[in-house]
Amino acid sequence: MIWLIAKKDFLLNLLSVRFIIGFVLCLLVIPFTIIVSVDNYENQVRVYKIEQAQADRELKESRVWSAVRPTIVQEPEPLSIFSTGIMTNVGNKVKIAFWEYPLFPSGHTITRDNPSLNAFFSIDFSKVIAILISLLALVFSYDAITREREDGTMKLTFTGQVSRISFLMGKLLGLLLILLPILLFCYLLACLIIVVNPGISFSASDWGGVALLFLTSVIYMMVFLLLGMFISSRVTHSSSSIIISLLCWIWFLFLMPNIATYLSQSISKAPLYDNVQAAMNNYDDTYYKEYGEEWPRAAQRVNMRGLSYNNCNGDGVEYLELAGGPRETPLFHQQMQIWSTPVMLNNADKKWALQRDYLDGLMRQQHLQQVIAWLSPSELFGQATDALCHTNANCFLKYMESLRNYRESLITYFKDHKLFESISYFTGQKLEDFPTRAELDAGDQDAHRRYERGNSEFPYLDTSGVPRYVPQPVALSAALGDALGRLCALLGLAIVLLVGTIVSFMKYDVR
Amino acid sequence: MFTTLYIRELQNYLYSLRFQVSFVIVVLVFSLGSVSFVSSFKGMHDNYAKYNQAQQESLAKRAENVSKVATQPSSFVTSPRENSVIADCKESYLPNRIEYSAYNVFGYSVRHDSNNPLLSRGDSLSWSFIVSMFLSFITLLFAFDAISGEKEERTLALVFSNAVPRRTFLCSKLLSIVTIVGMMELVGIIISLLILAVSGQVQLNGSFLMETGGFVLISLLFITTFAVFGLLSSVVTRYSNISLLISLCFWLFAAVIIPNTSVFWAKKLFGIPASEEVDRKRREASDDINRNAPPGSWSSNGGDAFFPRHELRAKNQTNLMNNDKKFNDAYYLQQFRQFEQTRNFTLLSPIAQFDYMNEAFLGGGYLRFQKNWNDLHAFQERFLQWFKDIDANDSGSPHWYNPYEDYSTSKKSVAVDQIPQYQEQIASFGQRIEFISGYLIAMIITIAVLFMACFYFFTRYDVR
Repeated sequence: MIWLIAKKDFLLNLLSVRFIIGFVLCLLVIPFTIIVSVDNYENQVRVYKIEQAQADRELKESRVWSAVRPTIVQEPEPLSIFSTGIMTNVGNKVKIAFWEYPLFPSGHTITRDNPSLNAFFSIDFSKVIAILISLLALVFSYDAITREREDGTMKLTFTGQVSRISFLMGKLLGLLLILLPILLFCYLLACLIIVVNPGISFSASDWGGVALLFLTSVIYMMVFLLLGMFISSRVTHSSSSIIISLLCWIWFLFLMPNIATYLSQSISKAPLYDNVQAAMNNYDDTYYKEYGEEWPRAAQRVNMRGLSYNNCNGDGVEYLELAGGPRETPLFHQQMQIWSTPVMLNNADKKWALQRDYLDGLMRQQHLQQVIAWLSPSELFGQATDALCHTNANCFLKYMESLRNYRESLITYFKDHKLFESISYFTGQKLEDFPTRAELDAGDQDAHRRYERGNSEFPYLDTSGVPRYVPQPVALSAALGDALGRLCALLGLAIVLLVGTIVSFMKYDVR
Repeated sequence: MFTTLYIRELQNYLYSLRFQVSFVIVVLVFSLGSVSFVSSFKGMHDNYAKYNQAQQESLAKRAENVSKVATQPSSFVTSPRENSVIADCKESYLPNRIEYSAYNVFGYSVRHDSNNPLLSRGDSLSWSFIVSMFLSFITLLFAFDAISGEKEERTLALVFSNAVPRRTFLCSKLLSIVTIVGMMELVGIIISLLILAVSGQVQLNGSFLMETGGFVLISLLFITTFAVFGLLSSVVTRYSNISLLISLCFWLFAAVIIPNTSVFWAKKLFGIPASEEVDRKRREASDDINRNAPPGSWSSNGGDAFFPRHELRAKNQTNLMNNDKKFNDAYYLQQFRQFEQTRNFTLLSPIAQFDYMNEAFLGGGYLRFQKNWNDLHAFQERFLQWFKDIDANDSGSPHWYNPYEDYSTSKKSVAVDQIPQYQEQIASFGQRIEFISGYLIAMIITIAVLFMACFYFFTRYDVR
């Protein structure tokens, strides 16, 4: 009996205008969204390749250890084609500095060529699926019960040996049969576009992620199908049912996510990062003051008459590269370097405490937003897809944590190899090659030749032993674990709605 | 006849379920939005005040050396707008920081800390958001079955069995929908104004009330667009469920598809060179300048301002700055043009038209940025002249203007209150009306075309 009711509903819906419109809408919107996402991903890959090459070149072409500050460029996540998550909000590269801990990456791909374009929002496959599938599910299910009653067919059905449960199950199965092919078609179309695109290669784990995305979409679709049926079982007219269904739809899809974001920001406050930086600058000012106080002591230790350079580059913070000039200059800098390294690292720790507070503030807002957003199934779906595509805040924070750990390993390497104390930290020239004041004052020609030497005369460092950052791929099981809570919540919601529909329909006046 | 029909329609809508549920949601969202705004605006205001104080402290340090005041870049950061409760104009996502010194306006950027990057992107719950996303949707819910629904219930034939002109019937339907949705909006705005008044965070002065009045008028026009489209979808079919699907498709394209695919269209239709390409050319030109610079152009002597090579250094630095400026300004112009063309493309969506009208009328968003960008260029010239005047009076300065360093210009201290500081000028109402006219015409044309189509189909509609 269930199958008969399902078959009847399936055939009726298959020939309906809503099926044709829904199918055409998916046919138009899904490929277009995937093409937009693929284009965006390819642009990210292009930027990644340019920046990675530049980062490699910078590391390879370092002549002094103070220039060895690897830039880590994050490889675009292939699954971001399906769900971009927060990846459009953050940059893609981090320069590992000792002066400061990495907090957020710089280099926003979207705003790279035009910062104004940041004002335009983007939509991805998972959001389109969330919007279209929920809408179609409601449009198909809002009259599942009321229409039968309005047409008088329900009375007729229950004059026979049909139980109410069988009727409901038949209806549900019929709706699933009509919507599942549409959903499957959307995913197959998306996969087809990805497969035929030579610029994209998905690993087995990525395809597993796509399969899990599909499963999540099915559960999500069930939630809205059951919501439509539940509403239909609570009212007597289809016109009321559709209005309530659509108001629920716009509330869950468009109002609730914005309410969650906006409320979380107004309930849990975070400071302006500019103000955090101002507080961090105070530590730097203290550092510079102490540096100024240490200066004469260091100068005295190396008997420096006055600081003079022949060839010197630097950023005034960490990087210093000098060549030529008198021998007392590198000796002085070596002394200053020995003094400043622990102070600088300690300063970075103090600044990190401020940055950590700021980050905690942002994380509190994010947690609050996620909690409020649990009131909307579409947000649960969004959070689950972001987790499955490794583009959620959790993945990003883990990535940043790994970069901070990498910074520590780099510092350990520098310490173990006594690079901070080494003269090669800021010059490629051997100490003996620098002329002494006495040699210069004596008018030694060779000493003057050595005084005039430039940075570019010295070879690049051998950086092959420097620890490299190895990104940790997110395993499918880890992604599933991250999304599991949301998936269970969606499933739980579907079960609650199913029970609610059954209970409500048991009392339904079929006349 | 018109009044009778209009009152009947109003009564029907007022007692309908859709009105009751929508009204509750409107009241809830307006209240939530206003309470959140009041809370977050205070935080934003405090943060901005703290930021300004830090800027003043930094300026006071630099004031010990007037050349540092002139050469060290300052940032102009847009302040929180009181009228952002009406429409935030996506200011936190638009360029909101401009770097300048007395010598140059260097560039602009988006402060990525103006939004929490860990949160998914979203609009604030401003009045404009509620109207554009929610009221547009419920306008369609009110309008989709205005004709086809009556036909299904067989009341349409009954109406036209009397001497009712179709034009009058259609106009009464349209006006009643606009009235009912407008009424909900007004109630929402009044609640919001009450919350703002009680909080004391926003000054409800004449200017603010005038902006509120302007917003209501603009939103009524916007609601009319959706009401007319809803009626059109209702007169092109005989079944209300098909009308509904057509209306939903229209809303999806207007609210979701067109605005959210703009970046794609910007790149495909209005492409500009990649930044690395521009950087490469700029670097090549800079290298040329350095190569051709006379020997000693990079020499310096901190102890002697009149060190002859400082003149060469100043010239070289000026040439480098002018070179950067030439490439950057040309690229910025291309970026602005790309952004504006993309915005014009999105005018296909009435929601985009409505957003841009609000932006123009409230003097916010991109127009605010553009105004600041242009005003800062004018200010920078005045700032440089002020510095040159001070430098001219210093006999200890060789007057070799170096845009980045203080080697060869006056190092005198200066009182902080004498330093010219850029103050944002809010666009006058006249300018705002001028900005809005194009969008207003676009929306009126949209309404006229839709209404004519609606009338055309309705005159041929089989009412039986």
